[in-house]
Amino acid sequence: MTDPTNNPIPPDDDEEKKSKIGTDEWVSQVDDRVRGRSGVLGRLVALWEAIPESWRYTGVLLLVIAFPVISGTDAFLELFDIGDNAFILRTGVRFLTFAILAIGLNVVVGYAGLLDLGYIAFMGIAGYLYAYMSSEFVQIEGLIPYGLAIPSIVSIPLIVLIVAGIGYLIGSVSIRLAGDYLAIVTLGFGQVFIQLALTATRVSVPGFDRPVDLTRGPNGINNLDDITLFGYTFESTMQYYYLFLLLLIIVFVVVNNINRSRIGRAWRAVREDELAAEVMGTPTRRMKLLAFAIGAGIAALAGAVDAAFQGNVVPNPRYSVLTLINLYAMVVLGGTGSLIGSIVGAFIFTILPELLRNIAAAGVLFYGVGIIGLYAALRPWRRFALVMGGTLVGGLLLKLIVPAINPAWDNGFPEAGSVLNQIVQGWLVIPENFQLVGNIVTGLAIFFLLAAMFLRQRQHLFHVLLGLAIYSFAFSWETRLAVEPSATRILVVGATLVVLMVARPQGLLGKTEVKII
Amino acid sequence: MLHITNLNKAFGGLQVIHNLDIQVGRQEIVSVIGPNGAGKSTTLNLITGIYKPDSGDIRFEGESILGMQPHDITKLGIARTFQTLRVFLNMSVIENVMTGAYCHTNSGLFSTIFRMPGWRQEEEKIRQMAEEKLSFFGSRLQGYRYDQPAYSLSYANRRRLEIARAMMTDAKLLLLDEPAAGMNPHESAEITDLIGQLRDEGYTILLIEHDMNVVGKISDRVAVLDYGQKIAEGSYEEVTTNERVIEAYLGRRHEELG
Amino acid sequence: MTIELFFQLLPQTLVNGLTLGAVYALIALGYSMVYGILKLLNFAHGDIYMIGAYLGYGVFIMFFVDDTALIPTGLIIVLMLVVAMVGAGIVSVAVERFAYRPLRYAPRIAPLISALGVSFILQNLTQITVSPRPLSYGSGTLIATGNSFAIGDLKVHASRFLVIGVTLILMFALTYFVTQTRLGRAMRAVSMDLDAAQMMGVDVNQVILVTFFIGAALAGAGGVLVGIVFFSIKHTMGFQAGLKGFTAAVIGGIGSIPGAALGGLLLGLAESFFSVYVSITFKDALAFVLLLIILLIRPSGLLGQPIVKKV
Repeated sequence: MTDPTNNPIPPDDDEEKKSKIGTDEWVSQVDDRVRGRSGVLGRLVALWEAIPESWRYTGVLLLVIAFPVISGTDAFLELFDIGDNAFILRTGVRFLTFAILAIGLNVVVGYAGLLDLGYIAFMGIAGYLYAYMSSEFVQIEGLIPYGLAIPSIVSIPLIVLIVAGIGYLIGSVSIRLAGDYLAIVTLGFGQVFIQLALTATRVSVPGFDRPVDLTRGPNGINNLDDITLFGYTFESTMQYYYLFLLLLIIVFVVVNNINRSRIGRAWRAVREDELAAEVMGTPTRRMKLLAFAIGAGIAALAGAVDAAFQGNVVPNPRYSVLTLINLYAMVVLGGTGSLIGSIVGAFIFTILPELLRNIAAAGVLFYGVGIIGLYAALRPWRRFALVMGGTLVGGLLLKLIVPAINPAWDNGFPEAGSVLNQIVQGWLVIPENFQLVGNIVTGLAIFFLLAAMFLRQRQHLFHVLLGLAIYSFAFSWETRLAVEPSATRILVVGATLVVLMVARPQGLLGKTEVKII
Repeated sequence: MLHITNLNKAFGGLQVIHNLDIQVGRQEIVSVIGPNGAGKSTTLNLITGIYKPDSGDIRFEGESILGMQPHDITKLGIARTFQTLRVFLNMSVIENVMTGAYCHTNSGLFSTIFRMPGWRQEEEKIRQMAEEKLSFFGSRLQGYRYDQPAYSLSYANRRRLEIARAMMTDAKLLLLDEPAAGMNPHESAEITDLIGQLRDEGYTILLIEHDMNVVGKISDRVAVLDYGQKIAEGSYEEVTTNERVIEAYLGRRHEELG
Repeated sequence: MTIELFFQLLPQTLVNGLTLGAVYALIALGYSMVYGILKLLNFAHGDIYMIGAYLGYGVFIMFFVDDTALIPTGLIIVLMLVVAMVGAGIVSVAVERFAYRPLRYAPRIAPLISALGVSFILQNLTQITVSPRPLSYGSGTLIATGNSFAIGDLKVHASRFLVIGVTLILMFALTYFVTQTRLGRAMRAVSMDLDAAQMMGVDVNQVILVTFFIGAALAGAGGVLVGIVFFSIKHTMGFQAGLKGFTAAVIGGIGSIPGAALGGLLLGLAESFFSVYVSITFKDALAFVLLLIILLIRPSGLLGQPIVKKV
C-alpha cells in the first residue's frame, strides 16, 4: 500500500485534464477535433488559424493592394512567362468583379436558400442601363442629341436601385413557386433577357415612326464613358483594379453586417425551416424578397462598373448561362453561406483557367493534381510507390521493346512545351499518327480509370488498371489535351468541379449541414 | 384570452374539426387530449394561421386573428412548439433562440449596414434576453452550449430549446404540442414542473399531451377531442371519469355494441 | 398574314411541331424520370443526348464508305439507334456512379454543380476527340430526299414519320415497362419514397441505375433522330436541347412520365407555330414564357401531383 506506483489515484492536475474526456463539453467538440487533424490541409489550416484574425485580414488586404506593383516587376512576369502587366491586371479585375458577383449570389443562394438561376440577367440589365445612361447610344432628335451622359455618381446608385427593384418584382412573382420551380422560372427570366438583348434590334415603340434598335444585337453597345467620381476619371486597368477592390470591400462589409444581425438570422432560419421560421414570427416572404433585391443590387453594381471598365456591353457570353454556371461553381466551391468562401471560389475560377492557358503551367498542374490525387487515394504510401514505380518501369520497358520491333511505332513528335513535356514524351512510346491514337487512348484512359474504380476490391488488378490509366492519361495529355488548350481548360475545370463536389460537398469553406431524414 | 368559437375545418371530404369551442383564460393551463387523429394538432395549426379554417372564429384578446399571416399572429403574442421538433438544426443554440426576437425588434437595413448605436443596443438586448430565456432551463443550455450547433443537442434539450425560442417571441400564450413526447419519466416530470413555472411567470398555456401524468398534474381544465368534436370538458378528474371519454379511448363494451 | 397563307402553312407547321415535340419529349422523359426518383436536376442530360447523336454518327461513317452504304440503309438506321441508346445509357450510368451517387445525401446544390461539371467534361471531350466543327449525317444519304409521302397536298418526308414512329414505339415500351414489370413497380415505389422503398427491400441502387440507363437511352435515340431530320450535329447541341427538354418536363409536371410526353409535344407545337406565325427571333423566349404562365396557373405542371404541405 505504501508503494507509490500502486497508488490508483493520479496526481490532481493530471486528473483535471483527463476528467474532461467524456463530458458533454468534450463530446460536443468532436467536430472541431476531427477537422483539426485531417492531413496536410488540416495542418495548414491550423497554422493559418494561429494567426490573429485581424492580422490575417490586414495581411491579405495589403497583398491585394500591393499586387499590381508586384506583378509589374520583371521577376514576376518572367516567372509566369507573361509579356506585360496589363494582362495580369485584367485578370485581377475579373477576379474582383466575379468576387462581388459571387457575394451577391451567395446572399440569395447561400443565405436565403433560393436557387436563383436568373441572377446573371441582373448584371446584364445593369450593363445595358449603364450603356443607355453613359454613351451616345440613346439619341432622340431635338431632345437628346448627344446621348444622356448622366454622371456616374448619379447613374450607378440609380442603376443599383432600379435593378434591386426589378429583382424584387421578379422575386414576388416567382417566390410563390417552391424550390426547384423557382430555379426554373428564374432560369427562364435569364433566357428571356439574353434573347431580348440579342434580338431586340427592330422593335416598334409608340411615338417613333421607324422600328427602334434597343440593344444593337450580338455586337452590343460600344464606346461607353468611363466612371468619373468627384472629377476623377477611372481610365487605366490599374485604376479600375483599385475601384473594384474598394467596391468589393464595401460589399463585403455591408453583407457581413447584414448577415450578423437579425436579418441574417432570419435568412438562416428561413433556409433551415421555412415554416418554423414563419411561425416564430419571421416574415418569411419579405425576408426572401429582401435577399432577392439585395442580390440583384449587388449584381447591378458589379454589372454597371464592369460595363464601364470594358467600355462596351456585349451580351454573349458575358450575360449568358455559361457565366452563371461559373458563378455558381464559385459560390458552391467556396462553400454556400461563406463570404470568404465566395471570394476564394472566385479566385480559383478566374485564376485557374488563366494558368491553364500556358501549356507549361497546365502540364505542371495536370501532373501535380494527378499525383496528389493518387497519393491520397493510395494509402499507405507503399501502395502509391508500388503503382508509380511499376508504371515508370513498365513505360521504360515498352520504350525499349517497341522500337526494337518496329521503329515506325515510336517516331511521333508532338509539340513539347516545357522540360516536363520533353521528359514525359521521352518516356512514352509515341507513334507517328499520334493524334488518332491519342483519341483512342483518351477513351482507354477513362475506361481504365472506371474499371479500376469498379474493381477496387481486387487489389492486384486494381493496381495494374491504375498503372495503365496513368500511362494512357499521360499519353493522352501529351498528344491531345495539351495541344488543344481551349477545350482542355474547360475540361479540367469540369473535372475539378466533379472531384471537389464528391470530395467536399459542402465546398471548401462551407460547414457540413445536418439534415434529419 | 383565447376564444375559439364554432371552428370547422375539412380536408377534402374529411371533417377534421367540427364545431369546436375552446376558451383559454389568462394564466390558465388548458390541456387538449384525445386519441390519435382527433384533430389536436390541426387545432394548433389553425390557431397559428398555418391552415385557414372553413368557418368559425378565433379571437385573441378580443381581436379576431382569422386570415392573418402566421408571423403576424406570433407578433400579437401567440407562440408554439412543434410535436415533430423543428429547431434550426444548423444554427447555434443561442441563435436559435435569438431568431424568436424578430417580431418585436425593428432595426432596419440602414442601421444594420452602418452598425448604428441603436442597432448595437438592440443586438445586445436580444442576446441578453436569449441568455435569460435559456437560463430558465438550468445550466444545461448555458455556457459553452450557446455556440454549439443545435443538432448536437439531445432530444430533450431540443424540446427545451423550442420552448425557449417560443418564449423569446414575447408571447403571452404558449401552444405546446406534446412537450413530453419521447421523454423518459424523469424528464417528463421535470417538464411538468417547468410548465407550472411558466404559468407562474405569467404565461398562459394551451397544452396538447398524451402523457396523462403530465396532464393530470398541471391542468386547470381539460378538453377532450374525438373525431374533431369536443366530447367533454372540465377538471382532470371530471373528464377521466366521463363515460364518453372512456369510450373514445377504450371503445364501447362488447355487449353495448351487440 | 392572310387567311389563305395561314391555311397554306398550317399542315407543314403541324408536322414540324410534332417532330420537334417528339424529340423534346424523348429528352424530357429522362429529365423527369431522374427527377422523380432523386429530385435531381440532371443538367448533364442534354449532353447525354449529344453523345447519342455522336455515337449514331460513328455507326453512320462506319457503314458509309465513299457515299455508298455497305448494308441496307434501314438496317444502318436501326444500328445507329441501338448503338446510340446503349452507349448513351452506359455513359449515363457511369456518370451516376461517380458524379451523383457519392452526393446522394449531400446538400441539394452539390449534385447540381457536379452535373454541370460532367456537362463540361462531356462537351469538351467530344470536342477534343472528335471535332470542334459540326458534323453531318449527310442530307439524303440515309433516307433519299424524294422519299416522302403525300397527305393531300402536303408532302411529308419519310424522316418525319421515322421520328414520330420511333418516339411512339419507345413511349409504349416505357409505359409497359413502368406499369407492368417488377422493376417498373420498384421504380415507382422509389419515386414515392426512396428511404421507405429501401427499407422494404427494394435495391435502390439498381433502380436508380436502370432509371438513368433508360432515360439516357431515350435521349440517345432523340440525338440520332435529330441528326437524321436536321442533318447536322455539334458538341454544344446538348445545352439548348437540355433546357428545352427540361422545360417540357416541368410543363408536363416533372416526375410524371405521361406529363413529360405531353409537355414535349406542347412545347414543340408551340415553338413551331410561334416561329411561323409570330416571330422566329423570340422563339426561344417563348418556351419560358409558356412555362411561367403554366406554373403560375398550375404550380406543379399539367399532370404533376400537387405538393402537400406537411406540418
